[in-house]
Amino acid sequence: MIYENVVCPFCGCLCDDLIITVEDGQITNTKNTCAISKSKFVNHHQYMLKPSINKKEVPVEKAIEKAAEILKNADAPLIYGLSSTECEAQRYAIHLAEILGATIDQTASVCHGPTILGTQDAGCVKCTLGEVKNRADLIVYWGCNPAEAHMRHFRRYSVYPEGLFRKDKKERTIVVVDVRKTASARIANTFVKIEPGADFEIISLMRAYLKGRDVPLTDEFKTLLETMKTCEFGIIFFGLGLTMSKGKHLNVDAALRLVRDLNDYTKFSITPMRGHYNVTGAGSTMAWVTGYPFAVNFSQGYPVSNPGEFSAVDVLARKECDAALIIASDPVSNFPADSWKHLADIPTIVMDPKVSLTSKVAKVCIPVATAGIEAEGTAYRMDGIPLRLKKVLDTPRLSDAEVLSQLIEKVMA
Amino acid sequence: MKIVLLSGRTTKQGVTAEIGKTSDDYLQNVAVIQLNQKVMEKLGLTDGDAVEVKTKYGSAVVKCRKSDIGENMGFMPYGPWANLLIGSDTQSTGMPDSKGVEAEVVKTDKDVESVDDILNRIVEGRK
Amino acid sequence: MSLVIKNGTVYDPQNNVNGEKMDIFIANGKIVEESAAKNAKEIDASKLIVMPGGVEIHTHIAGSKVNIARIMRPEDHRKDVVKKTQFKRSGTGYTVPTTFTIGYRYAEMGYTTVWEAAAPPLGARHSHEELIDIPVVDKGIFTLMGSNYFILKYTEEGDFEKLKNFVAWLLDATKGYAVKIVNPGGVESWKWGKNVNSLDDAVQNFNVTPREILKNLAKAADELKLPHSIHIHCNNLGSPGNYEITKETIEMLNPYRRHITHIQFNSYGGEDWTNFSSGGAEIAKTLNNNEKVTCDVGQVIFGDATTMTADGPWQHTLFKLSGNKWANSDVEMETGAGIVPYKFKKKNVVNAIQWTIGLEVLLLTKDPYKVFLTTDHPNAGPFYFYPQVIELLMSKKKRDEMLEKVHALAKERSALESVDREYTLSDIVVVTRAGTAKALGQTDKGHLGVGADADVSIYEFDEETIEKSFKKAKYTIKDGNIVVKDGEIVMDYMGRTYVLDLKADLSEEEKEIFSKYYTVQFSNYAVEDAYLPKKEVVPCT
Repeated sequence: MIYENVVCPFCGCLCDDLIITVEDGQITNTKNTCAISKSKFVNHHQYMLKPSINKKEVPVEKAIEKAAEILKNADAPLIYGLSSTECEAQRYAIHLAEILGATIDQTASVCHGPTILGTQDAGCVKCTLGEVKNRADLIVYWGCNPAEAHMRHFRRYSVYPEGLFRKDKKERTIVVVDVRKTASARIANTFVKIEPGADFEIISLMRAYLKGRDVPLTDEFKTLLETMKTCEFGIIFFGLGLTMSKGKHLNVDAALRLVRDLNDYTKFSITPMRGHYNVTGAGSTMAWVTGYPFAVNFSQGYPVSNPGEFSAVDVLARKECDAALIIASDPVSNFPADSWKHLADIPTIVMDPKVSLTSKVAKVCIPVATAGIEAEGTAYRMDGIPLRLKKVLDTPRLSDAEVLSQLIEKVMA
Repeated sequence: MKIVLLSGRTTKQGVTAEIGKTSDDYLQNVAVIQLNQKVMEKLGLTDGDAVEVKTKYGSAVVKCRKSDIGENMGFMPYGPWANLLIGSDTQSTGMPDSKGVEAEVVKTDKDVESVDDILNRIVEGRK
Repeated sequence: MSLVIKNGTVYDPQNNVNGEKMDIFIANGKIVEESAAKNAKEIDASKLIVMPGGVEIHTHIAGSKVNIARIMRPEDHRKDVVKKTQFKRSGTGYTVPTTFTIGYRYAEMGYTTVWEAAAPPLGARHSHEELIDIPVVDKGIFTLMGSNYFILKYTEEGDFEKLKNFVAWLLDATKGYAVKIVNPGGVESWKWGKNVNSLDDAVQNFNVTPREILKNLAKAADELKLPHSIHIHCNNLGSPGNYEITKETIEMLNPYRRHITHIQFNSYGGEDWTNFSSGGAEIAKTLNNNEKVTCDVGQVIFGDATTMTADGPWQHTLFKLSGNKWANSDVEMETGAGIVPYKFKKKNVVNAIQWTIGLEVLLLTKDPYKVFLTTDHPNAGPFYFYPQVIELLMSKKKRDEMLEKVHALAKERSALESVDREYTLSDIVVVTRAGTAKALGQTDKGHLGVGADADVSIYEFDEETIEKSFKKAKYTIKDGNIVVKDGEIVMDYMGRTYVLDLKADLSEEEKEIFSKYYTVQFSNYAVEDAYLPKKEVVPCT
């Protein structure tokens, strides 16, 4: 069976032109997939998680029962993850957090959380990826490396495709700004090297220079600024080079404001390169249900948000939660090491299709269907466009949405 | 040798993570640090040798790989080894200092730790 | 389950009931004759007024730009928190409330049907997904079309049949109910940083004018027999002197049906900010002199607002004027959006004049079936301030009191002070229910005749405290269920989403263009049934 127009459940590109071949219940071939996507589809059955309590394998129903018991008895549970599952599951997770009076956070807090903070200060002037494909004659990648992290971005959305007004790469100028010459820099017309931690200063100097101030901006950046001012339609794609480096949200704030300023001269936009395929969805669902896209707590009976107070890394580092439900993410792999201990010390429940490092320290493991391969649902692309994930394989495993729905029932009983 | 430590995605890290994080493929492709060729020469390292990377938050033993990254930098793919070296102070942003931590790199005889080794070390008392 | 609302003072102007004491009988979700309501549970309405449930014709509550606004305005939510109850999910309010809170607050105010006024087609799935989390009320979306590539292309080529077919296809693909047009052509020009400023300006890169776009879409909507007319946010919104383009838009679209939305923002006189004045009286005159035109006012409420429209260039202008944070979101091939927080101040001369205009238009338009009460939530203010506007409409005294509090120039630059008219309760029912339902083609709503949906709102009315009377309903009944009692939600309920019965196909050539210039696959574009758990299909007759 050949499935066409399948939506990829890996990165924020959310490519929806995948062709997946399924034979005898196995994925045997994929087309239009990047290397990482192919690996996800073809290897999805490897290292599958087994249901367990205290490392002993149990029927999944028992694991779910135990999870409900843990959550019900916790005073300050943490629910974390969400970005690699679909929206219905996310909405159930938020409801569960409300019922429990829990803290709920999603992976943006260690990814583009600073972008959200910057946006809350300055707003964000953006466009969908098709606008870039159709109109952009200047594309700047600042602090991101699509060649390794968003592998079909160049081909589908930015550098190579034929757009309404731009035929191909020759009609576009590509600039890469980074601390090192990445694989992405190889396809750029210009590579501009920036020192680690210098983004806020340089972008601020650019803003000042744009406004006619006499400031010590280097020639390289003066040239870049002039290119930005004089293009017809420019875009900055930025990534964790801005959000994770010194300055964090201030770096992003400065970049957002630079783009606002550039709109006095020409048409210019900026878009974050969102990592996981549904991290935009996690922020979206949290925002429409609670008002806030991450770091939310329900202990008052209504949503309160405070990054730093309710963001997962901080909650774990300060040992403020007494139970954790980790959904579609792997904090023991992705968080600083001193937060791992607490996840091992408290009763942690993991919902994941595969064995993860967090599952190795968890008290309860609940295997789930892989969203986008074995379960349908909505995912939101990096530019906010929603698409419906397809199901190409059957599985006896429950989806995240089904497990969470059961947890809600049991916790309320 | 002092460097500024960066971490980020790589294709191989992504591909092997999707196989499984307890796989050998993952270990081979993620427990690595990219260093400038000259820096490696100064430390007496050839490609694939073990190095110990130390920051004020912890240490990790990984393999070195030569690259044309700046001499004052080192790059590790996202994953548990890089996270041994990063602290959890987010300055109230929620985001740790995942890029830009000061690190020291030394040649070592120690073996590269597997994920189980790391978990045993960090998460004491786990069997 | 049967209900009888006993002895209430009923206002049902569509059926010529204007303050009569009578019983209303309900069974199986409908208004019925007495004989059909056996063993009816009684509601004693003897000291209460009874009217059809509110029908909101224009509000921004669900979808991409609304959610961008939520994300970028945490300061908006912190001051208005909503605790969970046995029946209610928690949430946050103020200008951009969360989805559950929106449904509850409309219902608590006595509204039972609510229309999301502007969904970008590529984001229609998002709008519908948020609507699933808006409880109680019946709902639906209007689909943005005024700067859509295909609409512009067929207008340029003069191919009306293809345009009409595309309109039908797009409404079906997005599960939208009406053709929404925002700054026609201007939103396309904004994709190059430009705008249009008259009905005859050329749209950037297209040999097409707003006049042509509007005429084509108006004709298409009428020929397709869509239940609602085209719904227009006119060009030049927010600019001094723009009442003229609004007048021209209304007049040149004769004999087609048209609805002008948040007309207050398009009823300005003067030439610049220094001689800014109200064009409300002129606009009311135009409405009085034209048939098949309706409008909603977008009345200003002093206090916090969040402006959010598809009118990208206007939103950029507002950013430059106010200095507040600014979000923009252009959508490939289709439309765009802009968001800027704003605060309307009594002592700001422009805001004060703006405040008079919505009231002027409501009071000077003779036929209440032509003019409806909205605040273009949240652009001119949050929807739950409607009771404040109701009071101002019903009480000249209250209007005069307010005129004393606002900037003194408002009296000079507007005709409001000279207007003595006071709305009756029947008038209020028309501008909030009967008229809106009629304009939307929702024949089972907005009235309490036999066969109507059993959507009823019951209030404790005191003419000394009109605003308080309408803030919270004593009872709100939805499909015959008591969902609100004493102003509080008492039942978990989900309303329907209305979609149209339209079938159309795109040609191979159109699908080719789609594949080339969109970044999603054609077959992944249309909204799936999974997003419409309670779908109700409406015929186009």
